[in-house]
Amino acid sequence: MGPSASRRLVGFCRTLRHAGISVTIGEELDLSWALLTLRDPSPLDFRNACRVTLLKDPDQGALFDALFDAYWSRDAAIQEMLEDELSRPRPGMTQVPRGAELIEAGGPEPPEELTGADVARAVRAVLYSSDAPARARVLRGIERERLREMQRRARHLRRRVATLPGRRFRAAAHGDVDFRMAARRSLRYAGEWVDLPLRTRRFRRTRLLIVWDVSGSMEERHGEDLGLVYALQRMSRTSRTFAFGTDLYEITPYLRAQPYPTVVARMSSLFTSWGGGTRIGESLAKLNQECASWIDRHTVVLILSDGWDVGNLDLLRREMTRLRRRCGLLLWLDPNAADSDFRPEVAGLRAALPYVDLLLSTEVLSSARTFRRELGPSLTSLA
Amino acid sequence: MAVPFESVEAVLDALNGQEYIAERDLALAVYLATSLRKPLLVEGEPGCGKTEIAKALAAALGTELIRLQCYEGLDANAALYEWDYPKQLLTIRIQEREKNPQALEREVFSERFLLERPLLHALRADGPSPPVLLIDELDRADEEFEGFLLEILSDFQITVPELGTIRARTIPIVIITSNRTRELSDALKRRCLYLYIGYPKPEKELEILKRKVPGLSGPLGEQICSFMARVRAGEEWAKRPGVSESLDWARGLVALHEPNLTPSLVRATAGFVFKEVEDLRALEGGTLESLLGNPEAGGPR
Repeated sequence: MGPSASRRLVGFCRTLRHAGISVTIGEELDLSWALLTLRDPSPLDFRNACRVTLLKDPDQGALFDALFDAYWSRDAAIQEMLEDELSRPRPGMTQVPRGAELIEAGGPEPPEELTGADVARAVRAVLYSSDAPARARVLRGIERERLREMQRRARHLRRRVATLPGRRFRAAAHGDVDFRMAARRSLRYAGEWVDLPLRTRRFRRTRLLIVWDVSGSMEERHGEDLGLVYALQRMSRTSRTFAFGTDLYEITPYLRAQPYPTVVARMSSLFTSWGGGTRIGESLAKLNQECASWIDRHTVVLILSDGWDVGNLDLLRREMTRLRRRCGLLLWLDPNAADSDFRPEVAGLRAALPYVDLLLSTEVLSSARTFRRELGPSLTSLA
Repeated sequence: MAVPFESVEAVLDALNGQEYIAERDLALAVYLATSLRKPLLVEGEPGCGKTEIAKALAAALGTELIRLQCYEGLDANAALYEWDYPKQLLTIRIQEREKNPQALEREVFSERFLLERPLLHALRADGPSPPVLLIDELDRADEEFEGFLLEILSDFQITVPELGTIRARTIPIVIITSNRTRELSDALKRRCLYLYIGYPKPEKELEILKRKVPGLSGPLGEQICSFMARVRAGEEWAKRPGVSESLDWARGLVALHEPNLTPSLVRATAGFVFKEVEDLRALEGGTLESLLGNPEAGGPR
């Protein structure tokens, strides 16, 4: 592969990274090897080789395809959008290095340059539907010390709601034979293996599914809630986070393995469904459908919402029933629940409450005192 | 080292020869995985043929299929190797008076007492062509086990403290499957080529049914595939059926000698397709007629 073709591949990988698709140097090398192996690939094989080596998350498949088309071909719709954006002056934007031509196999010329902002617009065009109130917001992050406190409480929460076996073992009446312990005990009886102690794993880990209401009624709290969601998402690698208003989107990739300021900036620019109405039932239906195989008795579902709902309440009840039956524990975090005169009178919350194991205030992760008060001994029996 | 397949077309032909109807993207992924000696991670809907890829590939290459079925709590002992403790104890008892302790220790920690589990078996396989190692449903195993796999998938070697480092004689073809019940680690994904398998198009599914279900008539096969496509397009099913459900259903209908799908027949055999009570209940109220393609009936829930 010549230096020019290599440069183009590098340019494509950088474009993917700008859009939030993680591509490592090793994966770039894999793609190079794959293209060498395929020798003279057809356009379809070239696309498939890129997918197989660079794309590791099927949820980003639509985004990947859009970026692929934008970079390697003249796909009419995306090209039009990109050319429109490229024609505007963009002072102070970081430029992605040149390299947007087709591989030497021939073909039409792709766009001259893609900037980070162009990629962000392509992302929005591909991922988010137009009926959602498409507006980006400048989110204000919370202070570092407050975030640390939330992360500490999130770790405590993880232990309290643990449903998955961890690495360590404990003695048990049922389980596997603990040969190491048996050998040690045999020393008491001159090397005779008199009894065989059993062991089982300690439950120390949680698989958390966070469902975050980003509708208009929660608008004032978006910055604060982002900190909360960030702390919760990072408490376990097996966590997933969805945001909902009138529709539901997974935002896990934006929260994972990123420093907090980067997350705030990316969520502000990439995610457009801030504000607008709430359809909890419809959103949960989509969640139940998309995560059907992911939600099981080991999953703790945490819904962060004030319960204001303009959707179908019967559907909400039905979807809450499904969710409750599948998951191990269902928690509802309401920002208003910390008020002393709080009563769950909002229609959506009232409809959902019978299926909720525990209603907590969002303050539960902000202070140790609230955490102790709200997550008392009752939770142990629930988990 | 010889490459098992000459081209993507050769993979397509080989899988086709094993009655596995593959899309070109799948064949390309298999071709690259076997040529580059990289593990292939296959994710997708349950019952869409992820595990079958490994079986068909092993059969096509005429090589051994070594399967590691993952489950919660699976650890290195069950996946890699274990010492045969009862046999060691027995040997110690028999020989403790005849041998000196060092010689006895060397003997009980020799290969004679080593129980090979699937991963070690795959590394030590020495057939003419590399074995196919299927690590099935990795998402069911713990994260620690995933971390443990990284060393093996990177270097194809393991270290047994008493015996030393064991390197793969021939690098196995590794197929890892996952149903996405949890996210696998980025470290593992980075080491693999990746393929996602969704539901097949109706015409592709019909081809699969015709190949796999002897005696299936064309019209009945088409009706089954259309029905399944409509069910999968609906968003409110608790569990959408995969290809394996289509195959089971088709076999059942052939056994019943039924030439066409009718509402009463679908109701009687709905257990082949729907595995949740609420989905079975949802067939009432015009939904079933709609799924059968009757435009006058009401739509799905």
